[in-house]
Amino acid sequence: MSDLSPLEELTLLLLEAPSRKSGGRDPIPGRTHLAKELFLLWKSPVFASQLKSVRFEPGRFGPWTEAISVAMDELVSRDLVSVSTGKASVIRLTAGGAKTAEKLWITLSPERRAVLTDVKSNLNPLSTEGLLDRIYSAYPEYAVSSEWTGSRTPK
Amino acid sequence: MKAPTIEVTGKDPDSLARSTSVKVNGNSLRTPELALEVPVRNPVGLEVLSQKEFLLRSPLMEVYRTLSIDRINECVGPSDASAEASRRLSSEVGASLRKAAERGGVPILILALTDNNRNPLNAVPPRKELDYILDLLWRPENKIVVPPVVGTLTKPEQYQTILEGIQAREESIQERFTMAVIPSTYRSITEQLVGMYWKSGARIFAVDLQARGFAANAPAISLVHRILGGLANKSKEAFVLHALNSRERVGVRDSARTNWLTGAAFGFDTVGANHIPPRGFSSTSDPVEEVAKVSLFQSRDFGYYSLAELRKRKGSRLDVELDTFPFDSMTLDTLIKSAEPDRARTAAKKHNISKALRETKSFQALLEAGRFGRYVHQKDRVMADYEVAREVGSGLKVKTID
Repeated sequence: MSDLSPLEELTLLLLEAPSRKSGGRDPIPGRTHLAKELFLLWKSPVFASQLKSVRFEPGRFGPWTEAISVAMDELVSRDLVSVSTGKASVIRLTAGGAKTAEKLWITLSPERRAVLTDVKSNLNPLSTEGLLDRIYSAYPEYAVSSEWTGSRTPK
Repeated sequence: MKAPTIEVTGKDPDSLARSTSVKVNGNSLRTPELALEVPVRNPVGLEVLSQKEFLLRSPLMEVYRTLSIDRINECVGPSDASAEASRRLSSEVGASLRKAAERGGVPILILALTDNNRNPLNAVPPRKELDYILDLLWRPENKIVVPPVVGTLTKPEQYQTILEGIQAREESIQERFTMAVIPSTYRSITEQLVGMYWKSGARIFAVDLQARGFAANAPAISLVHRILGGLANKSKEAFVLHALNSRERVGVRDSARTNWLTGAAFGFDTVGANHIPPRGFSSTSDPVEEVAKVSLFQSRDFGYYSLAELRKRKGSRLDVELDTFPFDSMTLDTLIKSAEPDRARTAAKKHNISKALRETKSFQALLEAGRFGRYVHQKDRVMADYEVAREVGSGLKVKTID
């Protein structure tokens, strides 16, 4: 359908997924959140085959893959996604990105839509500390290189 | 544009890896090969190349300079100070190119243009500044002309402006090869850009990997191979592919592993050093402040281990590989106890380059014998990366030409 990579498509789809609370296309509150949401999709059997060339590894802030930086650069340069920088970076769809994401969303099975909505609704509202706590407790093997060991005990 | 003579001498049936013999200006370059960097200070690569075991190698030697807009403006003005600044820059790059040639390498000048915050320019400089840059690239010591690396441009006309500047100079001086640089970002323009340079005669191409690993850049690498493979098959000609701004290693701590050697599996004939700072919120390079954290490449599994980890392993079943010239006169313990991070980093760099040069040399023989895939697959740390490389290779309908 598009010449985007699977990771780029899933980034757009996460941004398109409705938030259970607001019902709207909420932005993703930063790259850490995006990375962990994509990580959970990678772990999900529903999306695993689509992301088989992606490999998450333990990074300084838990699971990470450089492919996320590459995907974000591509989406920003195509003007599909914008990243506002400031105190915290916020990732959102541009007008063009919203059109592309909508087309991708329509083709998804209900099961895939449900997984995307679940992941986004569960992780998006968390603070960065809360997010890392949750991911580290569920996947401690990805916390081994972390510089952050818990909200009260930074290294 | 002049095209090099390329003879393919071996291929990996499962990935895009191949070995070639390339003739560039009288030098015979055997690939896969590393390209070494010639920084202004501490050009470790030159010292490694002067070691007896590497004397017969003719790698590309990257003289990479970042020029900010202010620095360029400082050189193009009408004042005496501008003339002096221009002379100094010209003399500095000339000296580096000559040093590289004296060590038997193929010198190659790469000028990366940035704004004053050292971000890629992402624009074509005005005519006067562009002319200055192209004149600098056209100096006699520079054997392969690389168009200025400007970041990501979104309009083909912008690239056309740069290409026209190169073509205008070729009318008077034809004895130059051109290496077209393809950014790994903004793939919407890749086909047009590759096609434009191919049509003008370029047969040496580089993908700017922007300080990221090969596996992470798989979408761009796959696309470039598909386009180049198609063009090459159609015209029955060969091309050379260089990895620009590739990382030496990826992964942190326990997962750290070689990156530059996996470039061969992704179909890169030559793999250069990284010259730009890693970006992103979770950069994978470890900040090295303590000697014990300096890492040494181990060819057994293609991993990078800190000196502290290696010391723990000493005497264990797994021998620590300290078989390079920096360790002729020092042991692991003396290095760790030196308490001089700069000394340790330099020694590690010499070791890492030496080991990587040995590995690329063995790649050539392995490819010719059809055993490359089996060999790389045994290296635990890069098995997953090699699988991505195989996927890129098998996903291509048009394979690279022979």
